[in-house]
Amino acid sequence: MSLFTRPMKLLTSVVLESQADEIAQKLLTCGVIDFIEMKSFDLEKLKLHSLGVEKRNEKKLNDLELLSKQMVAIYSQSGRPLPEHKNFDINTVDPLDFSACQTLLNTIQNKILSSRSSQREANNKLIVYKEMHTYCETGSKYLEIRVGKFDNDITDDYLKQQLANLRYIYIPKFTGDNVILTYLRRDGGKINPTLDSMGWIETDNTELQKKAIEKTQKEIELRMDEQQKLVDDFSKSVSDIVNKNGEKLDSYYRSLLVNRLCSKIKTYFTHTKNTSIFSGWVPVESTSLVEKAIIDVCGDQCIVEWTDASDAEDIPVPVEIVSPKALKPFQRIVENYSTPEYGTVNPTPFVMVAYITMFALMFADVGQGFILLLIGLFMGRSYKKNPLKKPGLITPNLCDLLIYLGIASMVGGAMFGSYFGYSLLPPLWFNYHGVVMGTVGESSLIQDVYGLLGITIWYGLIVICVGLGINWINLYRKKRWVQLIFDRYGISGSMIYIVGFFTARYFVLSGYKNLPPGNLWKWLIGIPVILLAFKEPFKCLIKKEKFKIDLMEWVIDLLEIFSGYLSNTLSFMRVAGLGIAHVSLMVAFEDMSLMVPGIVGKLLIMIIGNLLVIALEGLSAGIQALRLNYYEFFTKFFTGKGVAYKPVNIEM
Amino acid sequence: MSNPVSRYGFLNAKLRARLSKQEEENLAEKLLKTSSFIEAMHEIKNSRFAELADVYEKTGDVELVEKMLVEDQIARHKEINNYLESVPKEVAEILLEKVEVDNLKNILRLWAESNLRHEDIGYRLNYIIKNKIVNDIPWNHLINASTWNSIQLALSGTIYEELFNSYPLETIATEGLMFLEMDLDNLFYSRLLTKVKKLDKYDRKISLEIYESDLDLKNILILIRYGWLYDMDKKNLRRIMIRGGHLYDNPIVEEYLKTRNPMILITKFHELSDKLQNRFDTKNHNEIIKECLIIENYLAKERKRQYKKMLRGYPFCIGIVLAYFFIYESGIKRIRVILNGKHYGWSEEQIMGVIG
Repeated sequence: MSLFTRPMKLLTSVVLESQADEIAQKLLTCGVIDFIEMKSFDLEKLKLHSLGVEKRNEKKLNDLELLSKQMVAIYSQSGRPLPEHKNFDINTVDPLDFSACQTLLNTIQNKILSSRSSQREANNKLIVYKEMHTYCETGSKYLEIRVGKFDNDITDDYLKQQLANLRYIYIPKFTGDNVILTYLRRDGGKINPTLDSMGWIETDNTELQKKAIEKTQKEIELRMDEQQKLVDDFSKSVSDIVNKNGEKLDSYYRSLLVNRLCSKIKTYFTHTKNTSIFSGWVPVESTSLVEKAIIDVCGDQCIVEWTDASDAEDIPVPVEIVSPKALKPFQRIVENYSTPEYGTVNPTPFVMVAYITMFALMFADVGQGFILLLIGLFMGRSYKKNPLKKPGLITPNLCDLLIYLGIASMVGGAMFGSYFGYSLLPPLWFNYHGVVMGTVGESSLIQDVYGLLGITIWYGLIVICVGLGINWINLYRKKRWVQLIFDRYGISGSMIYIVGFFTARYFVLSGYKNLPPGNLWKWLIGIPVILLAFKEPFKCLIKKEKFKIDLMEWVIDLLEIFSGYLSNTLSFMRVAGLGIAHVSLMVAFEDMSLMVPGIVGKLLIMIIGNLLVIALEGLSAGIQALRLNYYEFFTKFFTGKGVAYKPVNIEM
Repeated sequence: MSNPVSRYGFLNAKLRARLSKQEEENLAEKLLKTSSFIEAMHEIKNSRFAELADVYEKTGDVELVEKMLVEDQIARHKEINNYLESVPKEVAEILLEKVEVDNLKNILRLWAESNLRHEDIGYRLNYIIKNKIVNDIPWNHLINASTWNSIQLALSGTIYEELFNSYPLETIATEGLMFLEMDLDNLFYSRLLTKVKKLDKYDRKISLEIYESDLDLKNILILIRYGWLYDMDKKNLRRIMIRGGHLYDNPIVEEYLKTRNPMILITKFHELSDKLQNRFDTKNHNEIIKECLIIENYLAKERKRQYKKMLRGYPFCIGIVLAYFFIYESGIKRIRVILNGKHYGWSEEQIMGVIG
């Protein structure tokens, strides 16, 4: 893990136009270049003459993307998983025969549509059978079950021909010459005249009619099963159509992917008559890999030039923060906020410590933490077992986070002696439960809720100071000296805050009577206050502009420093607030359980109580910890002005 | 919950969140950009309507998917109704009667096709909604009716009884369903306007503003389509006009019925009259269809503008509910048209021509 963002170098290379395709594939294999538009450079100045090749590349890319979408849709229709993007050698991929691929996809698509059309017809029949079945079961008047015979010699084929396109069920040879004809009464207008024309004679045997209902019901059920099978078979046939061409499709998919990405890379190329020029950011440790890849293709017929990020003015340097896999959930929290500036401190490890400690202070319970841990482990395992599973409310990332939070909560619980809301074991630090309820003895480290609030204020001071420290480092690395000295989160502002905090503490401890003795604290606050007044003049001096002191701005700045730092610090009292609420809720459930007779009732209330607390308090503690990180911690150093590093590679 | 803030506060937040999510998803645009039906279904699979893609894969039936979309629309509408109370709730319920009326019209058309024109209607009755929409309509009775009398019997005791009883079979057989369908629309609007007039002052004002201008444009469309294109006589034109709005009793209509000059009707709508200037000089069938399309598009644009204005306006009123219904329901309609168009291989332009 790097404490700072990953160092980058800008590659600018000129290669022969004839080797552009091969180069693009090699660069894709490297998969580490975040290309930049050559338009960023002044092409006129460089005397480059774009020959319009870029547009050709864009059209090709567009065609490939369209084909790719068609292919993905076909895979999706069949339920066949897309070939894995990882673990295949780009250099062994077959060249793409665009028209053959297009023909195959169109053929498959037409077959799928034709199959779906037959499936639709079968399903329509199924719906009618289902409707008939409902009417038959309920003895509804909407169904006509007719038993009888034809006085003419009517063949089954002739009957079918006469009743073509109509919805009916024909059961021949029911008893002797008698047959059963079942249809929806609404179709009677068309079926009855046809039957009459064929000499239909209805039976008057009521027994036979009763038996016909039973027989019809069974026949409908049989037809429903057959029809359902037919519908399912058509559905399966779509998968079969795709799977039959599976290997070919997979191969085309890979070729298409590689071609599409190579074309994408080539859209970044600018061309002269015989050369291609491209540029992009590469992590410092991968520069030799990229250089070797270019030289392997071009030999000495190329130019490879590296520029340090610090020398590449006006071109934004992409940012990648590298953290160990174990810290991924916290990196996600950082990325969710924004991208840090290039060359600044990677906030991930700090967020991890801050988030976990905040959560542990707000949601401290060994039993409830254990439940969170189990949820994280169990859900995480199910995602690992079934990678295609759609993320629900608890996403894979949240599962990882829950494992950390579960452990943090358990540690917090052991420190404060809380086990599912009961004090089963003595606390390692102090009895939080007892402090809230006012039942702790004089020997306790913390006596009352004010003590708890005091801890969180100290905790807030530490978090804010860490944030300020990171800001100093960032400003130092960026050589932003004016900000480092004069900014509200620079040395001046920080000094006012820290000295102000200890002065205020002294004042409070003296019973709001005395300020600290001596003049040191006055100097330590006074000098930064005066320095702040010179922030604007210094800026003018550097920019060589007219010198001015804006008194109003200075006053507002001071007010903002005072109110901002005060509210930021007091904001941490929510940590105690949530912790107190957590204890109070558990006590409430405990009291409720005491009102119920019998162990089962008590147990039930405590289980429901714990579950409610885990769901509600767990969520609230998670959100509040996030809020404190985003608003009180990040605002001290995180500008969010960075641009994320997005290399073109096969995993895109 | 009598004050507007408590009545609409929660709904306002909820519906705005839903609308912004819908806008963010932009499903209709994504569907429109797909190059085939299969790709469109893939987009559906990755959207909030994923279960519809599942239904398609299990049945192969795009019309069933469309039916499910309408059922989803009904369910959403009912869900919002549950958050309302008293008169606003009743207004919202009547708004849903439009779906009921359309369902009824679909049944009538299939019935007429099968029983009057003796044509094969195939399995089209499978796509009729049979669950309760607003009123207790015996849908099963209706779809199984083989005679006009049985349709009238099925609708006895419902809000449609009187209307259907005023149409004997002979009238339906000679006139067709047009007048009955227009009367169904009339019934819907008269019920809606009656209820809207019972709303609180502010709710009433914004609701009337939108529905009355809606009615005016609809009536213009009727007058031009049937009065100009088909030369329908004055009496019948008056019969099929929808009662309500500013235009219905306006002397302009009488003047139009005498002169049959469409420009008289649209002078009030400057943008529309500019677009249609000199277009009514010749009476060409294709041209008039294009002109009707221009008016329909203007109607759609005007509605959109009014609903957007509602969203920007005072938040604690019925406006947000009406705007949500319109935006959600027109979104569903767009998706249905696009899916259908893609299924039958229409081009993007053709689809755009339908959805405007």
